[in-house]
Amino acid sequence: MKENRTKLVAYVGMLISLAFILSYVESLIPISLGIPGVKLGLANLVVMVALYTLGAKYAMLLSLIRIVLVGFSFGSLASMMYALAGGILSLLVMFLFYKRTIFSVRGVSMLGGVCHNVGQILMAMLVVQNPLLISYFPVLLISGTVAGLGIGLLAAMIIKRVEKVYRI
Amino acid sequence: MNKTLRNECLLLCGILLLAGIGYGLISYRQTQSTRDAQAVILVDGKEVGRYPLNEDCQIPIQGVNGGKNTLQIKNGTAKITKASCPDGICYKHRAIKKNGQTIVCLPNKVVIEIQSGDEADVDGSTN
Repeated sequence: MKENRTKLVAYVGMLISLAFILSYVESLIPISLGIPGVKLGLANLVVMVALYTLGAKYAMLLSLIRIVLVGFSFGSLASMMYALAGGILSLLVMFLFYKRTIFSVRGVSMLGGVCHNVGQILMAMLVVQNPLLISYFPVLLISGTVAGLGIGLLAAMIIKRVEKVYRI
Repeated sequence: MNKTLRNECLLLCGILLLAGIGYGLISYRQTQSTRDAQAVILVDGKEVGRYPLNEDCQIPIQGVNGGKNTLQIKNGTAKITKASCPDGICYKHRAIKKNGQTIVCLPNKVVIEIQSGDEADVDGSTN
């Protein structure tokens, strides 16, 4: 049993580092559309894998730790706020669906992507107290879904190959 | 077609529909600006200045935590041409001119908002 615990710690540690690196790589890619919030969400790939191999608790833990780490290293404390809002909302919604057969990994990721953007915009609207920011919703709904779909397809492939090894 | 694929297609359609309706509503409300359109600068939710779009100018803005942005009004549009924030999203945003459009600099809590002359608050009137 102790060996399992060690494996778990090592696995989660590895996932956190992966998510962190992916966030960094993503920050290097310029957002060409000039609209705030359009991003790939590469780190969510890791969150999805964690969700399907380790479960909700560890996925949330992973996501929170990653966001805080990124916020302290190359993000900013302010950006952490928005990332947390988006990340938590997205995870909560994914928790509702990941064990059910309504959506596959693809669909859950799409939903997660959309909710992530929704969460970020809602938080932004709250922070600057300006309801006009709602005009960003249509673009972000679509970009969140598309990004979520892409990440979901990748995640499905990874989960299929990794789950036998890492189901703890 | 299996169940999840069908559900996901429905989800996609639903989201596209929502986005489409949202976009339609927003476009409808963002009528082309009248000649009295103004760019309003808000820092941390409070208005700090408003400038008409028909007069070219460059305005430095003091954001929160010492952040600085520069608003440029030129050719009837508003744009941020200098920003101290790390992400620079406000800087890359295309120029705005329609009523209700915004450019936001989240790190500095700066919002540039276009208001058409019609909706400007009337302080008082006499008949």
